[in-house]
Amino acid sequence: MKLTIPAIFKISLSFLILGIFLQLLKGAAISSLLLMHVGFSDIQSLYVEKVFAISFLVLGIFSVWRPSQLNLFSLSLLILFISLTSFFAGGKHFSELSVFAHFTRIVLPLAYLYYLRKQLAICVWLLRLGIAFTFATHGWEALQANPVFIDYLIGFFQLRIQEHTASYMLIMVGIVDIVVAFCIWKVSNLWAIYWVVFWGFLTASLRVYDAGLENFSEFLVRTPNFCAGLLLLAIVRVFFNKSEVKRNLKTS
Amino acid sequence: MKNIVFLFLLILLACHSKKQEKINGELTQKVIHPRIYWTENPASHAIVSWTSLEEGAEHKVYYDTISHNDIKHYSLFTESASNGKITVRKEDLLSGAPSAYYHHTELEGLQSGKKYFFRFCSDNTCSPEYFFITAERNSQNLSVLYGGDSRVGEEDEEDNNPAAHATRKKMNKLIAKMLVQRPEIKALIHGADYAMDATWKHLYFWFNDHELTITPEGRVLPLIISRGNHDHEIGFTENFRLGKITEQNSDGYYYTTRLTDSIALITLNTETSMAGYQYKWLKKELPKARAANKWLLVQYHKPAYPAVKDFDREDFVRVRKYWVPLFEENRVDIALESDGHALKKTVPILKNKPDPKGIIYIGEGGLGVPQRNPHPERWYFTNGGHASSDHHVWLLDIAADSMKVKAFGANGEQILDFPLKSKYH
Repeated sequence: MKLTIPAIFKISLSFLILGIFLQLLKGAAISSLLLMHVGFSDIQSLYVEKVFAISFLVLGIFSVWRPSQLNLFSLSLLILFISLTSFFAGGKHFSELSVFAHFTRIVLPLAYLYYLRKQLAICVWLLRLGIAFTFATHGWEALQANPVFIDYLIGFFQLRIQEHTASYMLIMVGIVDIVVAFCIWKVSNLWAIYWVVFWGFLTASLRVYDAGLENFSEFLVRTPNFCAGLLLLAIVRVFFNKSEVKRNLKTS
Repeated sequence: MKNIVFLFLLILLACHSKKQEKINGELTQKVIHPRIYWTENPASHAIVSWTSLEEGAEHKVYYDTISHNDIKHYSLFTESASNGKITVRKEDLLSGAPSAYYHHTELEGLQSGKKYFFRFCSDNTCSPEYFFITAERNSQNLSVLYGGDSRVGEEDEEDNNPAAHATRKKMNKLIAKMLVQRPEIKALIHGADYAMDATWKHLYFWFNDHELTITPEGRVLPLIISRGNHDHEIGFTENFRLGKITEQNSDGYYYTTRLTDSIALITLNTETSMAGYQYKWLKKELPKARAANKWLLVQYHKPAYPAVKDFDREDFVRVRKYWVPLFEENRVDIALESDGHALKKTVPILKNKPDPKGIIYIGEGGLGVPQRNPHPERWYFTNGGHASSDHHVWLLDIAADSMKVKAFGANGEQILDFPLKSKYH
């Protein structure tokens, strides 16, 4: 299959849908909220979550196979809903920022919708918005020395670095993430998009590297973090000539 | 004439101020939420903590080894080391939790194995007399309770407040009852996730409910605390203080409690870096603790061998990757885990396989939180393990060479019972 823009959209959406589906099947925030706040029994709450997971998968398959305004918009809303459940369930570092951290996931179906409608300016705007929010949120978490990120770094270096070294590295990472978010949003800089693709892929892969292949759903749900950059790059390269790239990035 | 009017107004104002003072004076009578925290040396040190509803200027704990009716007769007193306003938001006040202040007082130089009577006072308002018993340094025997996850639960029919929960209260009453029946129980090791989150609208009611663990005679059971994934908010550090402990890990919430001269408990924190400073500290601490103690226990919130949640979840993988090899290398006797909302006991595990020489992991949290359905089919529960959906509290009866481990259900019924031999040699 030729790696066209629709193909990238379809692949990244498929990975995202599969990743979310697998996470819902394992038990996620929805069942936790139903059990802890609504008063459902464990069996009921898991049942509801499984039904939700299957419905999500069916909608996802339809969205990729027969994309339409209704199903892509619904998919985006459901992903937003899932992020909101993480926010309400809490129990994770920075869960209060889940919606912002998941913004590339939330906007990806919408960006595809506007791409199909040939409203490229809105498509590009959505992708940039998603990347900017996701990178800025992760940058903020890095600056706050999220202990999970510290352990990724120490694990990546096979315990050869100290916690304070990892903390310093996180400050750098945080600053870069926030600068990249700013560059994607405000400044026309292609290097920032290249960085998004590279860093998004690296950090998504780190989840699997750190906790094993069994955690590949963690990688899948983060596919939009680098695919959004890839799409942005592809769209501006294909549709605009070099001199137009900067202008269109600015005006989109 | 003007002077007379002015004087009259002045007198009126003074009377009003006096009246106001009295009103405030009545409000300051509220000193609530008595609790004791054990940290590193419970034979000689304890933290007395409480909540006051007014800021006050002087906060003291009066204590003695004999009971007194009058505050003046206590032979010892200590000023509170840490006082402050509890972070309260509008929604906390709307839930019925009042504005309040935390107080933590460190009692040092205590005698081992002694009954200490105490009262805590904010300004001139003092609590009733309570007592606790310090850890016995020279004893080879020890009984402690272990439980975790006391956040939310079924709503209380008698209490409309959604944060006050029937099952949690029931478990707390059970703890008080067990303490009366078995006065040899010395402390409650809490596996964390105290309330829904560590905001005042939840913690206030958690502390209210925690008072139910106090016996009718006024015995307060010391808490050995850990930190869970629902204890991230600032309310946790305000209200659960470790005070002065070594290694400057106070904020890290990982430390060793010398329960007796031959029994140690290492508390770890799954909510901070597991591979950083804590790992380095654990790597040094475990061999020392193993060499010096006949019994070595560890406790932390997120499990290495979960009963309910996904085995491959990255935080559980991290516990197995960084800590479990150290536990195995240093022959930890038993690991206490929470988080899942179930009752579990694994088979002995060594190098991720069942092995009679391995470590048994118990717990998963049942102090009131709604229970989930675990996976008893997982390899570490078959052939001698156990996983079920039951509210529970564990009793660890430790003797010189053997330990009896029992789990009691919410009605006080015994659900599990197994012996354990020390790995010390």
